[in-house]
Amino acid sequence: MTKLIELEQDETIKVSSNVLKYLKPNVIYVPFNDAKALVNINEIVDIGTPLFKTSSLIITSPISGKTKSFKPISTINGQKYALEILNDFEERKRLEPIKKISLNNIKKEALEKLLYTQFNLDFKDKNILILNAIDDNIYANTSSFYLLLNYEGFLEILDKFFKIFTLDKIIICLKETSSENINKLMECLGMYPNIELRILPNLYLLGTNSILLKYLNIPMSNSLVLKTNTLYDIYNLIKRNRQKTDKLITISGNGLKNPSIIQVKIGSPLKNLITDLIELKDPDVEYIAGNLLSGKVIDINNFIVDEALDSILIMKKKSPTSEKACIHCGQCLNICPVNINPLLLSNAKYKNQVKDICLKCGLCSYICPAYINFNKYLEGEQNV
Amino acid sequence: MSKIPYLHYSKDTNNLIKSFYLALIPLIIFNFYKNGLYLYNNNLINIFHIFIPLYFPLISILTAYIVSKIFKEEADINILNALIISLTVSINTNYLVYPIVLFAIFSIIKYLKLKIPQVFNELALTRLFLILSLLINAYSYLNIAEKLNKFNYNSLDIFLGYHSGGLGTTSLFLIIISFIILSFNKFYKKNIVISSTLGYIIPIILTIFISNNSSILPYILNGHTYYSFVFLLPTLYSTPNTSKSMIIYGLFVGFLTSLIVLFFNYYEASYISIFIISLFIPLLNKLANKKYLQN
Repeated sequence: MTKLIELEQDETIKVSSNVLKYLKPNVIYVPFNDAKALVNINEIVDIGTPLFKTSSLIITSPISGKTKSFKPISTINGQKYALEILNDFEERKRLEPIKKISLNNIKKEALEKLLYTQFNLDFKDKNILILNAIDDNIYANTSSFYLLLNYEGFLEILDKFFKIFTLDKIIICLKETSSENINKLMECLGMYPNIELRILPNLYLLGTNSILLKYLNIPMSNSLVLKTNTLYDIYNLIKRNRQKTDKLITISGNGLKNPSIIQVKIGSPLKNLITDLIELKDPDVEYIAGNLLSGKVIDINNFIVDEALDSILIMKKKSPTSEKACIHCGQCLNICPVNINPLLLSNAKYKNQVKDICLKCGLCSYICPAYINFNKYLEGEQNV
Repeated sequence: MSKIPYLHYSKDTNNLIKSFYLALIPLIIFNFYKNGLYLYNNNLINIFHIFIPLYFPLISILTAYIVSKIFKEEADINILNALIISLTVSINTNYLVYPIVLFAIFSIIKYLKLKIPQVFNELALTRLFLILSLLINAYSYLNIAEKLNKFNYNSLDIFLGYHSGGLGTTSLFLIIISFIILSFNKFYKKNIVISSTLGYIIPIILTIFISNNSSILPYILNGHTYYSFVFLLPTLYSTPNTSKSMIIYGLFVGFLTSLIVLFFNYYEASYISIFIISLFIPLLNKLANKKYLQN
């Protein structure tokens, strides 16, 4: 079994169960990398207008408005170029994203192909489907809120999948702390005998699909794990015939008065969102994209909410801790969920070998008594 | 934009150092009682000599502080090392020579560490050199009462620490308490302590069974050996870094100690074996890391 730990957390930080909305930004930015532009500057676009084309997908506009410029922006995955679109707030829809699908008469092969092309999900030879509604970020509830807000639709669609793909089992995984979700699901699951609920301890990294499978002792070869945000997108496309234009993010931490879940238009500037919806406790805060162990301190100016962003933590500034000499306690090796030896990261060969295996979960740096930040060695510094 | 570990485990190196200090307190108090107060109460020493058992720890701390200032190092770890070493010396150590020798050894080792990146257990080496300051006076670990053979101790008394030894190394009972205190700290390398203890005890027990010689049985209760296993062996910077290599390291140290004890009947056996085996730490690390580099 994978060795996992429960992180110490500030129990006073509670995310409100009211979802705030930020669906009408003045401007949005659509990032593109190595994609061919299909529109020009000063062009009128609608929701669903193709903006960029890559080898595998077409990126469409999440709002209706006018294209303004191409400019560099920051995302959780680094600096990118993006198309700036000014919102005209008319919410015009240009194209139907896809022919309306009925799950009652769709063929297995057609659904399989749709899920593979749209969501990169391979249902072939899978007989266990797992819905992972667990957040790795201790102060974020994004994954569990996707489920809480859409549980009836999710259960319906999962049940259809069970029948279409002739699955053996569907498991919904929740943390024991997700009491609202547990109560709601308990009420409904009687109608869905094929869906099983697993309530798991509040351990860090269970929100990571590969770790969850190891923890459940289910082989990867015949199982497929879905995150709730992916199921939300599938649900929107299949049941509501809606393009993916918005998402949920958690804005939480000890530096704000109102930790909240926000339904936000994808591409919205983070600074505008925070100015409009968030009340800071203290002006001396830092913004962290992602979780507290492996997230990134960001400058919110020029930062946008893209598809990969799940949470922003606004934390009171801490005085920096300087790295000390390694005391060879071996705890970084013991805690690593994928059995990497962080002390060998100065070896270029080893670093290349483990670069793709490392989950960048930050546990090695979390546990290190000498405050060594192993991430920076993984990113290029030489000596550990 | 930079990666950060904003959240950190509640304990760190400073907590481990504090745990060591906490674990040493019972030994310091017992040292003051056994080699000072107890002897004074039995009219064996005068009021001035009561404080001699505390002189060695205090002068060691001062020496370590001065050396840290000279070499511009953080003093906390050097002070801890000095305190650990001070409790291993004999009450008969020369008061004047001790700080001079300690200062010289600390300075030489610090200089060596700057010049040679070779890992070795500097506490064990320091302790071996300190025998020089003991040789100035008579080489003996007996305090005045033990020299006069004034008291008759039973096995329980010996377990509690009423027998000859270093200032803080006689009480096996308190050393076990210290080990328990240290074991509560996640970063304390208890693997090394347990494996070295097993590596030491098993050969001695086997020898007793094979040779039917029960005269070597008291070696099993030798607090000096366990003190060095608990405090000197799992030192902060000079140990292997994987669980397996720590266990192997401990087993080798324990085994070598038992061999030296059995063949040479040498009181400082554990320091010799710790120093010798510590020279192989890079090799142990290399072997332990081989599996990571091969995959």
